[in-house]
Amino acid sequence: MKKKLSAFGKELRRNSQLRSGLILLAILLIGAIGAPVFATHDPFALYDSIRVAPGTDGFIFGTDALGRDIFSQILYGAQTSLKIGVIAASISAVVGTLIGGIAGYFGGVVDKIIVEFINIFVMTPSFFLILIIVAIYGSDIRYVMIVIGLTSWPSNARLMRAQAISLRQRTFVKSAQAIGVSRLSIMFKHIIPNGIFPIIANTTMQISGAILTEAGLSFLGLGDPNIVSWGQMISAGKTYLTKAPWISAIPGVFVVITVLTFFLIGEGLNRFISPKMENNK
Amino acid sequence: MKRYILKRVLTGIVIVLVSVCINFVLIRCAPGDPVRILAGLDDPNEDQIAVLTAQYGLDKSIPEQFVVYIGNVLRGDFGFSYVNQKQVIDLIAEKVVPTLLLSLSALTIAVLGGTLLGIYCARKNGKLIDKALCAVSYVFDATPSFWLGLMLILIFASWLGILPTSGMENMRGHYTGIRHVLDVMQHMILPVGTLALIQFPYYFRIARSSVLQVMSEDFITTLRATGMKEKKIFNKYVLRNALIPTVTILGSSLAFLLSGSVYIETVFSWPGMGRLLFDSIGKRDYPVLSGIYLILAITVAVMMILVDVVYSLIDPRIKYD
Amino acid sequence: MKRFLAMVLTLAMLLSLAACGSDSNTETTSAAGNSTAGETNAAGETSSVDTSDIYGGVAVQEGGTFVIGATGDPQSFNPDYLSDDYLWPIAQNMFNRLVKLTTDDTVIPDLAESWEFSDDGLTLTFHLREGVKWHDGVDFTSADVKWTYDTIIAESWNRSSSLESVESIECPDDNTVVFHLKSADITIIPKLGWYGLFILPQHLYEGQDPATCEAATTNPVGTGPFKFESYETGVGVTLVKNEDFWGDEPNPDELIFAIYTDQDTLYQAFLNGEVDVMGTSLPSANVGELDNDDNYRVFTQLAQNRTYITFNFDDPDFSKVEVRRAVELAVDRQGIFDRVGGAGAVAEYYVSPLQTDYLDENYKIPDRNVEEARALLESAGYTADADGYYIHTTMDVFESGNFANIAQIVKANLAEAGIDITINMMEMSAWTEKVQQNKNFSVSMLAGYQGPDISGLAGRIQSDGATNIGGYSNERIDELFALSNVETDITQRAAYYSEIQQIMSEEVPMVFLLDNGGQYAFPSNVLGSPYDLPELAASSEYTYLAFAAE
Repeated sequence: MKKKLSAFGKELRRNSQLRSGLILLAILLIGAIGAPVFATHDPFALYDSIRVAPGTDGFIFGTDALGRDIFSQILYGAQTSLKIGVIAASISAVVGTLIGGIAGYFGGVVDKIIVEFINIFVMTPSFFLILIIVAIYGSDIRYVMIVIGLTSWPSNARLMRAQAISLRQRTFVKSAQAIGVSRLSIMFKHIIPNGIFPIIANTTMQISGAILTEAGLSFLGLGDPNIVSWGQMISAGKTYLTKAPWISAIPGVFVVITVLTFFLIGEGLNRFISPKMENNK
Repeated sequence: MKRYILKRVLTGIVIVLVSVCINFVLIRCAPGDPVRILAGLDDPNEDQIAVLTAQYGLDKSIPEQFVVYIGNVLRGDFGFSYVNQKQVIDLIAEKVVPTLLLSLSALTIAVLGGTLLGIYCARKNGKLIDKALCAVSYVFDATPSFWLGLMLILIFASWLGILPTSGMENMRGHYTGIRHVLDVMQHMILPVGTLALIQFPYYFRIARSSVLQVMSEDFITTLRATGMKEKKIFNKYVLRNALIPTVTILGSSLAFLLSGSVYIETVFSWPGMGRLLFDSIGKRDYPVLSGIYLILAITVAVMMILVDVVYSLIDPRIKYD
Repeated sequence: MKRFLAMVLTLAMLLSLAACGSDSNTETTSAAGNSTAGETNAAGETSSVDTSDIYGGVAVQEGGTFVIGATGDPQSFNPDYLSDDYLWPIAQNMFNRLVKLTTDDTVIPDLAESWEFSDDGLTLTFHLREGVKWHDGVDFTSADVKWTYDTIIAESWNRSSSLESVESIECPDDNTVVFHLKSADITIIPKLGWYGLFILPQHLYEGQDPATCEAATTNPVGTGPFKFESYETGVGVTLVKNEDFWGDEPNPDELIFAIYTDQDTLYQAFLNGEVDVMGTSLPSANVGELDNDDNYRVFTQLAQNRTYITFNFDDPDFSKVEVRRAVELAVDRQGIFDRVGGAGAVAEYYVSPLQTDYLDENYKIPDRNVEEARALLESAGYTADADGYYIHTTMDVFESGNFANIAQIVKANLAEAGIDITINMMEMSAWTEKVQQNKNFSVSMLAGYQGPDISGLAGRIQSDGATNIGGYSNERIDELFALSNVETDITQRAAYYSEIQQIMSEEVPMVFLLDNGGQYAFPSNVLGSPYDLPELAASSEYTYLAFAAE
């Protein structure tokens, strides 16, 4: 364990993307979890200072068109963004790992069917699917997370399938088979745990994707009005773009930072996995 | 090779059919009635609703409607848009041009710019300019396109006032010929710029990392050992191999350009397919939705097959069963 | 005859044009003073406005190209077939009807020079203007009128209901049209000047598909002051001056309706000078910002259009008057107005403030009082849960204008009084099915036209009212509407309406939030807008538009 930690420390020193990503993530987490502590105002409360510029009347980032404090909304919005990103990407990871694992490990007809199934999904422009489902069936944040998760799993499935195909040739899998361990338990005990690393890196990237997708849906007016979300803040500020540009500008900056955070971590992890890219500094 | 292509074409057709079917059912099962929307919220004319429902065949069951639809499509009839009161195929033909104009220009700039910068940075690997460009690419990769669009409007149209806010042409001008082209180009700067900025990081990083990877391969080292000039090695061997991933990705991204166009067309009031799709969802314009989806699915399928072919031409090592 | 005239006058006041009022894209600008509508014109006098002085003595440039903002593509160029808000402003400049409804809601002659009712009110004769030609040079005749109306009725086109009192139409000669009515109906006159009853060229439409024939798509032909020139999907429609127009000579050489699908973008384009006429009211976020700007002339109009919270009367909570009253006491109407009110006003009474003859000031919506709201809920037997809420409910709201913002404010307001609201934002099509058709809701929000006559309110609270989606029902109210509809004496009518307001104030069938209005801006060098000439021009009619001389 200690050895692993020190290896990780060493990696961190070498891997600038992972390092800066993790630092940013720490800041984001502190902001999101500590939102009730750091927030200067109630994010939903309507104050009499309507559309005041940052720094006015004690509103650090100003207020929006309804008189809500942008700074506090940013903090609570961080919770939303992180939650959406993590949950949607986790759904994608679980579904992708299972489907990919089964295809790769079981092989044969099962594999062929699953591969074609994945092809269908890859060829379906998932964004349109998400748009149609959310527009038509409602913008409840739970649907949004599930729909994003259920449309982004194919890349994970492909990764896991490749991993499973190579792992099933390995000695420890073969010997487990020889002593009669069931195929399912081999998959869960050996294949998935040993092949999961690329999935973790890819899932981190998908957190970014999910956050961007939610922001985009909110921008098109398909956000859940019962939560604070950066995408909705950008959308609400669009009307006041010239008069009160901060309403749109500030949440946008935070979307960029958050998405960037997970990109960096994902890229950092990828470099960690494939040392061949070592020189790719 | 021929057998392989044939097989890909056949699976392509099956996949297109399945996804169109899913889409068809999904949209028609959704709450909301297109004819009622046509009739308006207050005081709808029930007589006209009944007439139009029958005229558009919406009184039939969904499976029946699907059979009719597929039959019509096979005969080349993509249906009639309720909202726009015209043939879906004409409507899409009208709207696809502005969208392609926008997205192909942006894609060209992003691919050329991104790839060239990527190759440049790979050769300057580790230098300050490389690090700076990498950082920039990460930031733009993380930027939502609609937000970038808004910010560019704010800066270039509202504050500096040097570019038009939106739209595709200056109606008042009645420009013809070269003036018209220039006018449209001026309106394209902001939306194309936004799209290109959002997309270039992708091509930048792929080009950069594949060049680096190829350069580290054994055959390059061998070539170096033979005393071949570095420039020649690069131009003759590295570039060729390093461009393969870009080509692969190009095919799929072309088909997905439309997704991004929804945002850009919304922000810039650009009269294209993205807006048409979004508006049609709201109005439940079934034939238009099915039509766009069908064409999209076919495009993606064709693109994927084309990419495979191009791929095999670039890299003869790849063999198909 | 005298009795019939009295009936005419009364009915004229009862014009029920409510139907299209809430369509947001062609804001109807009905203001107060409708009691004169139709009154002077029932006899069909020709208007005698002196057109030489329409620009108030300011020198103007002759001709010019005017760019007018539009927010979407027209569905087709057939103005009568479907309800099409995007075609309306274009149609207003290309086509004519028998009569014209001007911006101040008076009826003036258009293709009909004059008209008269028979003594029994069952026959209505129109005398058409002579020498009118279609844009393609063919003569306009009474046959076109008969064909248009017959087709609208026979094929159930969008506004066929406006002609429901028509038994048959005949044309004794080329310049006379006679309506045989099923029953006396004076309201038909202003309806003929409203939506969906433009006269179409029979020679181009007969036997053709109403939406896809040439006349409805690539080559529309009307009798109006401007002729169709070109249309580019998503970009715009160009009309040019009709040199042979039979009426006042149009001033603009060219009208270009430029499409900006987004209202905010359109406003930016207007400020940048890319667009001369907004074509719609200012976005509510921008109301007031041009008021003191010398570069613009601004017209502000309050409409008989109110935004309100509506309840499902089958809901266990909101069927209780205490709960509805608590909502009324808890909402911060002033706060809503300050944030998203735009050119409107805070709702203060139970009827539109424009109904000066009928508004009873004794029945005023109570001021905000959160404590009292809580007390009412407790008196109704509610107890607060751990989070301090008495009631948890969902409000279904559709995407439209400021609704999303109002819903956010209402949510925050009601939370203070212990009513927890989850907002369910829906597309209008899904909302229509869930709320309007299936009545599957607790609380929702609506806005819409409720004029021009005070009886426009009936559709919203009468038991069988078309927009009474919550199923509110009060026998006495139904009775009062019935009584007032046949009452000719204004004082007595006002008494009926006073009682209606009293019941509304006691039972709170809906919670009024805002009186809506619109602000219309023109660059100060653009003259002759429909708002400058309310007695001469129809809404969105740009015949008189002119640039001030340099």
